[in-house]
Amino acid sequence: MTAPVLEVDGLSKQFTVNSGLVSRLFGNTQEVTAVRDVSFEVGRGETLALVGESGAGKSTVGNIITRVHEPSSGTVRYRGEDLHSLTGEELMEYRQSVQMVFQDPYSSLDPRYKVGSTVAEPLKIHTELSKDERQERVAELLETVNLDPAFANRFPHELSGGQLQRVSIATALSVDPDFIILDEPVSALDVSVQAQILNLLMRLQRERDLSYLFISHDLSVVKHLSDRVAVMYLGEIVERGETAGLFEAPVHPYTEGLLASVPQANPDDHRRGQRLTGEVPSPIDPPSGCPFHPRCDYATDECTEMNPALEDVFAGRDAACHNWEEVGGEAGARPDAVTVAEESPESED
Amino acid sequence: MTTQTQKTTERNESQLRQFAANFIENKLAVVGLFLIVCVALVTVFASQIAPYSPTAQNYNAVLEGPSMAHPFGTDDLGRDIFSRVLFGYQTVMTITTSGVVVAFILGTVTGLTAGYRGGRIDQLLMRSVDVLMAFPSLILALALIAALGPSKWGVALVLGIAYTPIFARVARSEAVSLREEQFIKSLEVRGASQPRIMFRHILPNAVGPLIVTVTLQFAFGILTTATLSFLGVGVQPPDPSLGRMLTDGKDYLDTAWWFSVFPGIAIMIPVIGFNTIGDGLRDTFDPKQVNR
Repeated sequence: MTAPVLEVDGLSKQFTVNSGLVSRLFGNTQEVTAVRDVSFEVGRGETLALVGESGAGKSTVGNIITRVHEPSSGTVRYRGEDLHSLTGEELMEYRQSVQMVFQDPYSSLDPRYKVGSTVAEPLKIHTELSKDERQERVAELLETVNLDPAFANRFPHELSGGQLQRVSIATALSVDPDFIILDEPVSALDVSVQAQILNLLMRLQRERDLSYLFISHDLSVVKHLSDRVAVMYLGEIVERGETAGLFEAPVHPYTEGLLASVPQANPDDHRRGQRLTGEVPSPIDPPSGCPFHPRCDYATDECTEMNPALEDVFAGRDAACHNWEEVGGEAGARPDAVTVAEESPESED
Repeated sequence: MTTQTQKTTERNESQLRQFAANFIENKLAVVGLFLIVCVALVTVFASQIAPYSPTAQNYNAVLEGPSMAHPFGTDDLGRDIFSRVLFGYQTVMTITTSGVVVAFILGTVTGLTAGYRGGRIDQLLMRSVDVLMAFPSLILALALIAALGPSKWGVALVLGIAYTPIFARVARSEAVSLREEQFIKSLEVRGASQPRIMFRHILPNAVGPLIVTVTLQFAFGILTTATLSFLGVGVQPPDPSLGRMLTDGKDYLDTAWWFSVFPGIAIMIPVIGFNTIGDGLRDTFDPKQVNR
């Protein structure tokens, strides 16, 4: 891997609930841990996917990286600089260099601004281009995302979801960022449109050497786009590794369960492993030991007592599970499985 | 490109036309609009329309009833009530407009800041607004005038201060809900400054409810101005004032009804007009009724 652009190290975030005056007076406040000890790196031109169910803390990580939230502990370094020490001009540079594309295209554009003005807004904030130069740039950007430049004079309510998401991407690209956080960028779109947007994102990454942090719950999308995957459960990363290998042979029971629940095009193509059952526990009152043990088929007494750390289980794969060797049924086949995955990554779908 | 631009312009126009069509469906609001247009014309062209000077006294025609020469009759000093009503409109409209503009600016800035910034700033600003709101606006106005001394611009300033809380609350509630919108968050992430977000993005999206508030406050403003004059603490003579004419006329109510009835009707017309327009606009802006 090339030198990391973004390094997240030991990131934790607690939110206080019941923070009203009365609760505070009686000491009746509770802490919710949204993110616990999360670490990952994203290299130049690389895509890291953060995967997990709702409430797993994926978006909180995104919000900390964009400085919407302050972390409770841990650091985020961008090009080696601690993000939360940035101020003034350095912060503005960061705001230019790191852009974000949001989930809901219908609410991520100002309804009273024409598309052209929305795309030009970051240019107004970060550059000193004249009005004509900005217009020219907007037209180029719209062409880059395969939209007719005439769309610049339309209002958001006149566009479809896919078109709006292209506009959001064009807006993000307007100031030549190096890093884009994609927070579920396609989950609000139709499947056919999803494919177009994903291909656009992949093309842009190749052309501009962009790094992506791809936040998603849709595993088939993740498989298509990302180089590496980090699976989150209840605020923790439970498994991390190369996309192909992880999809072929998960070593954490949660990843296995997630993969088993992906709908298959071929009804005979049964995945091994148990589907997930039960509910995600409340983060206010998390289970003892491993947070996943109440839903885990492999759980032992050890799991109820001790939360496993994220460890290097074999080359290029980290997992947080006491019984990872049991996962997947056929024991001992692990290194082979990785080789198989590398040979035929397109065997699924 | 040009055809595209034309198309878009057409589309904008059609949106506006749709809005106008929805508004026109509300017959009462259209009547209100008509009343306001009449009052506005009469106010602007008062000096052209008025047959007499509003201060010209004629002791040969004291307390004369309505006639061709004096359509609304004359008062106890022989002044033409019709002319005085027209100039009274000028006074009351100047005061109300200035007051509402002041309240709009103060209230919107306060409300947007409180709603967008949240936290302690919100608490501080809105609790001050609550303190202002706790006084009935008329009592507050009386107290302020007692401090400032009665004058035309004093009344305007007092209206501005008394109506600030209403605009602040409307602006805050809009800002609080818009703050959570994704397009505002994306602007923050892109490094847009707070004034840019507040005044270029939140304000344009909050303009509907604010316009409704402006029209409704106009109605209240006219009433309050007239009330203050009626109580003798508003506009001072010789400036013609509708409220003062009511006071002066009430002593002659059994012998010269026209002395107070016509100024009273004159106050009523714009108040009803602004109220019905406000209601109509509120219905038209209500997104739930867009597809009526």
